[in-house]
Amino acid sequence: MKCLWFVVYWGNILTGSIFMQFLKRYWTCGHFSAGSQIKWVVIKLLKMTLIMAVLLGVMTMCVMKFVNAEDRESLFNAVYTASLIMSNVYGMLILVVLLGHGLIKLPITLWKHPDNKYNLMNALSRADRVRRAYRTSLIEYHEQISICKTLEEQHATGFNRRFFDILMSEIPEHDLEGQKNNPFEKHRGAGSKEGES
Amino acid sequence: MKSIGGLEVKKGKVDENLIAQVRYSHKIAFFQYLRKKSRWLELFSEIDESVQKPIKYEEKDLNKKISSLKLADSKQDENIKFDKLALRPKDSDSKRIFIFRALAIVCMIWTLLVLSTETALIWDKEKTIVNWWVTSEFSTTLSIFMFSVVFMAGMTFSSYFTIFNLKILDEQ
Repeated sequence: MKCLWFVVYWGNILTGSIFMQFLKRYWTCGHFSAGSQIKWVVIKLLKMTLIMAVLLGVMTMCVMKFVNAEDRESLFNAVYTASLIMSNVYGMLILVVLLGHGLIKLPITLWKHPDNKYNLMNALSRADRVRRAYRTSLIEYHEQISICKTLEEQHATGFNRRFFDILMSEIPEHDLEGQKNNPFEKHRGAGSKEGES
Repeated sequence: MKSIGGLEVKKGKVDENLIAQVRYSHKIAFFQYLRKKSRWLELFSEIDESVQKPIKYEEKDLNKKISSLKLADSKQDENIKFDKLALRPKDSDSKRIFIFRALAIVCMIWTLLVLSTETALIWDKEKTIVNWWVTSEFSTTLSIFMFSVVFMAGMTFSSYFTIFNLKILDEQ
Protein backbone atom coordinates (compact mmCIF):
# COMPACT_ATOMS: atom_id res chain seq x y z
CA MET A 1 0.00 0.00 0.00
CA LYS A 2 2.86 2.32 0.90
CA CYS A 3 4.49 1.57 -2.45
CA LEU A 4 1.23 2.29 -4.28
CA TRP A 5 0.85 5.60 -2.44
CA PHE A 6 4.46 6.46 -3.31
CA VAL A 7 3.79 5.71 -7.01
CA VAL A 8 0.55 7.74 -7.08
CA TYR A 9 2.04 10.67 -5.17
CA TRP A 10 5.27 11.04 -7.12
CA GLY A 11 3.60 10.04 -10.40
CA ASN A 12 1.14 12.86 -9.90
CA ILE A 13 3.87 15.37 -9.11
CA LEU A 14 6.07 14.30 -12.04
CA THR A 15 3.14 14.18 -14.49
CA GLY A 16 1.83 17.56 -13.36
CA SER A 17 5.18 19.30 -13.42
CA ILE A 18 7.69 17.80 -15.88
CA PHE A 19 5.50 15.77 -18.29
CA MET A 20 2.85 18.49 -18.65
CA GLN A 21 5.54 21.11 -19.21
CA PHE A 22 7.14 18.86 -21.80
CA LEU A 23 3.90 18.33 -23.73
CA LYS A 24 2.92 22.02 -23.49
CA ARG A 25 6.19 23.07 -25.09
CA TYR A 26 6.31 20.14 -27.51
CA TRP A 27 2.92 20.92 -29.10
CA THR A 28 3.51 24.66 -29.40
CA CYS A 29 7.14 24.77 -30.52
CA GLY A 30 7.83 25.69 -34.14
CA HIS A 31 10.51 23.09 -34.99
CA PHE A 32 10.07 20.90 -38.00
CA SER A 33 10.75 17.32 -36.92
CA ALA A 34 9.98 15.27 -33.82
CA GLY A 35 13.72 15.01 -33.05
CA SER A 36 14.38 18.74 -33.19
CA GLN A 37 11.18 19.43 -31.25
CA ILE A 38 12.24 17.06 -28.45
CA LYS A 39 15.77 18.52 -28.44
CA TRP A 40 14.44 22.07 -28.15
CA VAL A 41 11.98 21.14 -25.38
CA VAL A 42 14.61 19.20 -23.42
CA ILE A 43 16.99 22.19 -23.56
CA LYS A 44 14.21 24.48 -22.34
CA LEU A 45 13.28 22.07 -19.55
CA LEU A 46 16.92 21.68 -18.53
CA LYS A 47 17.21 25.46 -18.20
CA MET A 48 14.04 25.48 -16.09
CA THR A 49 15.34 22.58 -13.97
CA LEU A 50 18.64 24.41 -13.49
CA ILE A 51 16.79 27.47 -12.16
CA MET A 52 14.74 25.20 -9.86
CA ALA A 53 17.94 23.50 -8.66
CA VAL A 54 19.48 26.88 -7.85
CA LEU A 55 16.35 27.86 -5.92
CA LEU A 56 16.39 24.52 -4.10
CA GLY A 57 20.06 25.08 -3.29
CA VAL A 58 19.29 28.50 -1.84
CA MET A 59 16.46 26.97 0.17
CA THR A 60 18.78 24.20 1.44
CA MET A 61 21.29 26.81 2.54
CA CYS A 62 18.54 28.68 4.39
CA VAL A 63 17.33 25.46 6.02
CA MET A 64 20.91 24.61 7.04
CA LYS A 65 21.27 28.02 8.61
CA PHE A 66 18.06 27.91 10.62
CA VAL A 67 17.82 24.16 11.41
CA ASN A 68 20.46 22.38 13.40
CA ALA A 69 20.85 19.34 11.16
CA GLU A 70 23.20 16.89 12.83
CA ASP A 71 23.58 14.41 9.99
CA ARG A 72 22.80 14.08 6.31
CA GLU A 73 19.49 12.24 6.89
CA SER A 74 18.04 14.91 9.16
CA LEU A 75 19.15 17.60 6.67
CA PHE A 76 17.40 15.68 3.87
CA ASN A 77 14.25 15.40 6.01
CA ALA A 78 14.31 19.13 6.80
CA VAL A 79 14.66 20.05 3.09
CA TYR A 80 11.99 17.51 2.12
CA THR A 81 9.56 18.93 4.69
CA ALA A 82 10.30 22.51 3.65
CA SER A 83 9.66 21.61 -0.04
CA LEU A 84 6.36 19.94 0.85
CA ILE A 85 5.25 22.95 2.91
CA MET A 86 6.17 25.36 0.11
CA SER A 87 4.34 23.30 -2.55
CA ASN A 88 1.28 23.14 -0.28
CA VAL A 89 1.40 26.90 0.28
CA TYR A 90 1.62 27.41 -3.52
CA GLY A 91 -1.39 25.09 -4.06
CA MET A 92 -3.36 26.83 -1.32
CA LEU A 93 -2.64 30.28 -2.76
CA ILE A 94 -3.90 29.20 -6.20
CA LEU A 95 -6.98 27.63 -4.62
CA VAL A 96 -7.70 30.75 -2.55
CA VAL A 97 -7.39 33.04 -5.59
CA LEU A 98 -9.59 30.82 -7.77
CA LEU A 99 -12.09 30.05 -5.04
CA GLY A 100 -12.24 33.59 -3.66
CA HIS A 101 -13.17 35.15 -6.99
CA GLY A 102 -15.75 32.44 -7.70
CA LEU A 103 -17.37 32.67 -4.27
CA ILE A 104 -17.97 36.42 -4.50
CA LYS A 105 -18.52 36.81 -8.23
CA LEU A 106 -20.88 33.87 -8.86
CA PRO A 107 -23.89 35.16 -6.82
CA ILE A 108 -23.44 38.67 -8.24
CA THR A 109 -23.29 37.32 -11.81
CA LEU A 110 -26.37 35.12 -11.28
CA TRP A 111 -28.27 38.04 -9.76
CA LYS A 112 -27.55 40.36 -12.69
CA HIS A 113 -27.61 37.80 -15.52
CA PRO A 114 -31.38 37.83 -16.34
CA ASP A 115 -31.49 41.66 -16.46
CA ASN A 116 -31.37 42.50 -20.19
CA LYS A 117 -30.72 46.20 -19.62
CA TYR A 118 -27.67 45.46 -17.47
CA ASN A 119 -26.42 42.88 -20.01
CA LEU A 120 -26.79 45.31 -22.90
CA MET A 121 -25.02 48.17 -21.11
CA ASN A 122 -22.28 45.81 -19.97
CA ALA A 123 -21.79 44.42 -23.49
CA LEU A 124 -21.79 47.89 -25.07
CA SER A 125 -19.22 49.16 -22.56
CA ARG A 126 -16.87 46.32 -23.57
CA ALA A 127 -17.61 46.41 -27.31
CA ASP A 128 -15.07 49.06 -28.32
CA ARG A 129 -12.26 47.43 -26.36
CA VAL A 130 -13.01 43.93 -27.70
CA ARG A 131 -13.31 45.13 -31.28
CA ARG A 132 -10.06 47.10 -31.06
CA ALA A 133 -8.28 44.01 -29.68
CA TYR A 134 -9.63 41.97 -32.59
CA ARG A 135 -8.54 44.51 -35.22
CA THR A 136 -5.09 44.80 -33.59
CA SER A 137 -4.69 41.02 -33.60
CA LEU A 138 -5.64 40.99 -37.31
CA ILE A 139 -2.93 43.56 -38.09
CA GLU A 140 -0.39 41.63 -36.01
CA TYR A 141 -1.30 38.44 -37.85
CA HIS A 142 -0.72 40.13 -41.21
CA GLU A 143 2.60 41.47 -39.91
CA GLN A 144 3.68 37.92 -39.00
CA ILE A 145 2.78 36.73 -42.50
CA SER A 146 4.75 39.64 -43.89
CA ILE A 147 7.78 38.64 -41.80
CA CYS A 148 7.50 35.03 -42.99
CA LYS A 149 7.30 36.06 -46.65
CA THR A 150 10.09 38.65 -46.42
CA LEU A 151 12.36 36.16 -44.70
CA GLU A 152 11.62 33.55 -47.35
CA GLU A 153 12.19 35.97 -50.24
CA GLN A 154 15.49 37.31 -48.89
CA HIS A 155 17.06 34.41 -47.02
CA ALA A 156 15.92 31.14 -48.61
CA THR A 157 18.90 28.99 -49.62
CA GLY A 158 19.36 25.38 -50.68
CA PHE A 159 20.19 24.56 -47.05
CA ASN A 160 17.01 25.97 -45.46
CA ARG A 161 14.61 25.69 -48.43
CA ARG A 162 12.72 22.65 -47.03
CA PHE A 163 11.96 24.50 -43.76
CA PHE A 164 10.71 27.55 -45.65
CA ASP A 165 8.57 25.28 -47.86
CA ILE A 166 6.82 23.87 -44.77
CA LEU A 167 6.40 27.36 -43.29
CA MET A 168 4.94 28.82 -46.48
CA SER A 169 2.59 25.85 -46.98
CA GLU A 170 1.10 26.58 -43.54
CA ILE A 171 0.17 30.17 -44.37
CA PRO A 172 -3.43 30.16 -45.59
CA GLU A 173 -4.20 31.95 -48.85
CA HIS A 174 -6.96 34.03 -47.23
CA ASP A 175 -7.49 35.27 -43.69
CA LEU A 176 -10.75 34.76 -41.77
CA GLU A 177 -12.23 37.89 -43.36
CA GLY A 178 -11.78 36.35 -46.81
CA GLN A 179 -9.02 38.85 -47.68
CA LYS A 180 -5.91 37.64 -49.47
CA ASN A 181 -2.88 37.22 -47.22
CA ASN A 182 -0.59 39.48 -49.22
CA PRO A 183 2.15 41.26 -47.27
CA PHE A 184 2.15 44.22 -49.61
CA GLU A 185 -1.55 44.83 -49.06
CA LYS A 186 -1.55 43.74 -45.44
CA HIS A 187 -3.63 46.53 -43.89
CA ARG A 188 -6.25 46.66 -46.62
CA GLY A 189 -7.98 43.62 -45.17
CA ALA A 190 -9.28 45.77 -42.33
CA GLY A 191 -12.79 46.23 -43.74
CA SER A 192 -15.07 43.27 -43.22
CA LYS A 193 -18.78 42.67 -42.92
CA GLU A 194 -18.62 41.97 -39.18
CA GLY A 195 -16.26 44.86 -38.55
CA GLU A 196 -18.34 47.36 -40.48
CA SER A 197 -21.52 46.27 -38.74
CA MET B 1 22.99 42.08 -40.07
CA LYS B 2 19.42 43.07 -40.90
CA SER B 3 16.33 43.38 -38.72
CA ILE B 4 13.10 41.78 -39.95
CA GLY B 5 10.14 42.24 -37.60
CA GLY B 6 12.42 42.56 -34.55
CA LEU B 7 14.56 39.55 -35.55
CA GLU B 8 18.27 40.14 -36.10
CA VAL B 9 19.03 38.21 -39.27
CA LYS B 10 22.50 37.62 -40.74
CA LYS B 11 22.76 36.86 -44.44
CA GLY B 12 23.32 33.12 -44.89
CA LYS B 13 22.71 32.41 -41.19
CA VAL B 14 19.00 31.64 -41.32
CA ASP B 15 18.86 28.16 -39.85
CA GLU B 16 16.12 25.84 -38.59
CA ASN B 17 16.04 27.49 -35.15
CA LEU B 18 15.32 30.94 -36.55
CA ILE B 19 12.68 29.68 -38.99
CA ALA B 20 11.11 27.69 -36.12
CA GLN B 21 10.99 30.89 -34.05
CA VAL B 22 9.17 32.67 -36.89
CA ARG B 23 6.84 29.69 -37.34
CA TYR B 24 6.01 29.74 -33.62
CA SER B 25 5.27 33.49 -33.73
CA HIS B 26 3.01 32.92 -36.74
CA LYS B 27 1.13 30.16 -34.90
CA ILE B 28 0.64 32.38 -31.83
CA ALA B 29 -0.47 35.37 -33.94
CA PHE B 30 -3.00 33.20 -35.77
CA PHE B 31 -4.33 31.79 -32.50
CA GLN B 32 -4.69 35.29 -31.02
CA TYR B 33 -6.45 36.52 -34.16
CA LEU B 34 -8.83 33.53 -34.15
CA ARG B 35 -9.53 33.93 -30.43
CA LYS B 36 -10.12 37.68 -30.52
CA LYS B 37 -12.29 37.48 -33.62
CA SER B 38 -14.45 34.84 -31.95
CA ARG B 39 -14.68 37.02 -28.81
CA TRP B 40 -15.84 39.94 -30.95
CA LEU B 41 -18.41 37.83 -32.85
CA GLU B 42 -19.68 36.41 -29.56
CA LEU B 43 -20.10 39.90 -28.08
CA PHE B 44 -21.69 41.18 -31.28
CA SER B 45 -24.31 38.41 -31.26
CA GLU B 46 -24.85 38.97 -27.51
CA ILE B 47 -25.71 42.64 -28.20
CA ASP B 48 -27.79 41.71 -31.25
CA GLU B 49 -29.84 39.23 -29.22
CA SER B 50 -30.50 41.60 -26.32
CA VAL B 51 -31.86 44.62 -28.24
CA GLN B 52 -35.37 45.25 -29.51
CA LYS B 53 -35.80 45.12 -33.28
CA PRO B 54 -38.70 47.40 -34.17
CA ILE B 55 -38.14 47.04 -37.93
CA LYS B 56 -38.53 43.93 -40.04
CA TYR B 57 -35.87 43.91 -42.70
CA GLU B 58 -33.87 41.58 -44.88
CA GLU B 59 -30.50 42.07 -46.50
CA LYS B 60 -32.06 43.38 -49.73
CA ASP B 61 -33.85 46.11 -47.70
CA LEU B 62 -30.59 47.73 -46.57
CA ASN B 63 -30.48 50.08 -49.60
CA LYS B 64 -34.12 51.17 -49.25
CA LYS B 65 -35.41 54.30 -47.53
CA ILE B 66 -36.23 53.70 -43.88
CA SER B 67 -39.76 55.08 -44.27
CA SER B 68 -40.62 52.30 -46.73
CA LEU B 69 -39.90 49.58 -44.14
CA LYS B 70 -42.50 48.38 -41.66
CA LEU B 71 -42.47 48.08 -37.88
CA ALA B 72 -42.37 44.57 -36.48
CA ASP B 73 -45.25 45.13 -34.05
CA SER B 74 -47.63 47.35 -36.05
CA LYS B 75 -49.56 47.65 -39.29
CA GLN B 76 -47.73 48.02 -42.56
CA ASP B 77 -48.93 51.55 -43.30
CA GLU B 78 -47.78 53.09 -40.00
CA ASN B 79 -44.94 55.60 -40.39
CA ILE B 80 -41.67 54.90 -38.61
CA LYS B 81 -40.82 57.47 -35.96
CA PHE B 82 -37.27 58.01 -34.82
CA ASP B 83 -38.02 57.38 -31.13
CA LYS B 84 -39.11 53.87 -32.14
CA LEU B 85 -35.61 53.32 -33.52
CA ALA B 86 -33.73 54.18 -30.33
CA LEU B 87 -31.54 51.36 -28.97
CA ARG B 88 -33.58 49.62 -26.28
CA PRO B 89 -33.02 46.34 -24.45
CA LYS B 90 -35.60 43.58 -24.73
CA ASP B 91 -37.90 43.23 -21.72
CA SER B 92 -36.55 40.81 -19.15
CA ASP B 93 -38.42 37.55 -18.65
CA SER B 94 -39.91 37.50 -15.11
CA LYS B 95 -39.67 33.68 -14.80
CA ARG B 96 -36.02 33.81 -15.78
CA ILE B 97 -35.40 36.59 -13.25
CA PHE B 98 -37.07 34.54 -10.50
CA ILE B 99 -35.03 31.40 -11.26
CA PHE B 100 -31.69 33.20 -11.49
CA ARG B 101 -32.29 35.32 -8.37
CA ALA B 102 -33.24 32.16 -6.42
CA LEU B 103 -29.99 30.55 -7.63
CA ALA B 104 -28.09 33.70 -6.63
CA ILE B 105 -29.51 33.46 -3.09
CA VAL B 106 -28.50 29.79 -2.87
CA CYS B 107 -25.00 30.79 -3.99
CA MET B 108 -24.87 33.57 -1.39
CA ILE B 109 -25.74 31.04 1.34
CA TRP B 110 -23.04 28.75 -0.05
CA THR B 111 -20.51 31.63 0.05
CA LEU B 112 -21.43 32.39 3.66
CA LEU B 113 -21.09 28.68 4.56
CA VAL B 114 -17.60 28.42 3.05
CA LEU B 115 -16.39 31.73 4.47
CA SER B 116 -17.77 31.00 7.95
CA THR B 117 -16.24 27.51 7.90
CA GLU B 118 -12.83 28.81 6.81
CA THR B 119 -12.93 31.59 9.42
CA ALA B 120 -14.09 29.29 12.22
CA LEU B 121 -11.30 26.82 11.37
CA ILE B 122 -8.75 29.45 12.35
CA TRP B 123 -10.24 30.01 15.83
CA ASP B 124 -12.12 26.90 16.84
CA LYS B 125 -12.81 24.01 14.48
CA GLU B 126 -15.59 22.67 16.72
CA LYS B 127 -17.71 25.70 15.92
CA THR B 128 -17.88 25.02 12.19
CA ILE B 129 -21.13 23.88 10.57
CA VAL B 130 -19.23 20.97 9.02
CA ASN B 131 -18.12 19.78 12.46
CA TRP B 132 -21.64 20.21 13.85
CA TRP B 133 -23.02 18.12 10.99
CA VAL B 134 -20.42 15.37 11.31
CA THR B 135 -20.77 15.06 15.11
CA SER B 136 -24.55 15.46 15.20
CA GLU B 137 -26.52 12.43 16.38
CA PHE B 138 -28.83 12.76 13.35
CA SER B 139 -26.04 12.43 10.79
CA THR B 140 -25.49 9.14 9.02
CA THR B 141 -22.53 7.88 7.02
CA LEU B 142 -24.42 8.49 3.78
CA SER B 143 -25.36 12.06 4.72
CA ILE B 144 -21.75 12.86 5.72
CA PHE B 145 -20.54 11.38 2.43
CA MET B 146 -23.10 13.38 0.43
CA PHE B 147 -22.29 16.56 2.37
CA SER B 148 -18.55 16.08 1.69
CA VAL B 149 -19.17 15.45 -2.00
CA VAL B 150 -21.41 18.54 -2.33
CA PHE B 151 -18.93 20.69 -0.38
CA MET B 152 -15.95 19.63 -2.48
CA ALA B 153 -17.95 19.84 -5.73
CA GLY B 154 -19.08 23.37 -4.82
CA MET B 155 -15.51 24.49 -4.17
CA THR B 156 -14.33 22.94 -7.43
CA PHE B 157 -17.23 24.53 -9.33
CA SER B 158 -16.42 27.96 -7.85
CA SER B 159 -12.80 27.57 -8.96
CA TYR B 160 -13.88 26.52 -12.46
CA PHE B 161 -16.21 29.51 -12.59
CA THR B 162 -13.19 31.78 -11.94
CA ILE B 163 -11.18 30.09 -14.67
CA PHE B 164 -13.93 30.39 -17.31
CA ASN B 165 -15.26 33.76 -16.18
CA LEU B 166 -11.99 35.70 -16.11
CA LYS B 167 -11.51 37.25 -19.55
CA ILE B 168 -8.66 39.59 -18.71
CA LEU B 169 -6.35 38.05 -21.29
CA ASP B 170 -9.00 38.18 -24.00
CA GLU B 171 -9.57 41.89 -23.65
CA GLN B 172 -5.98 43.05 -23.52
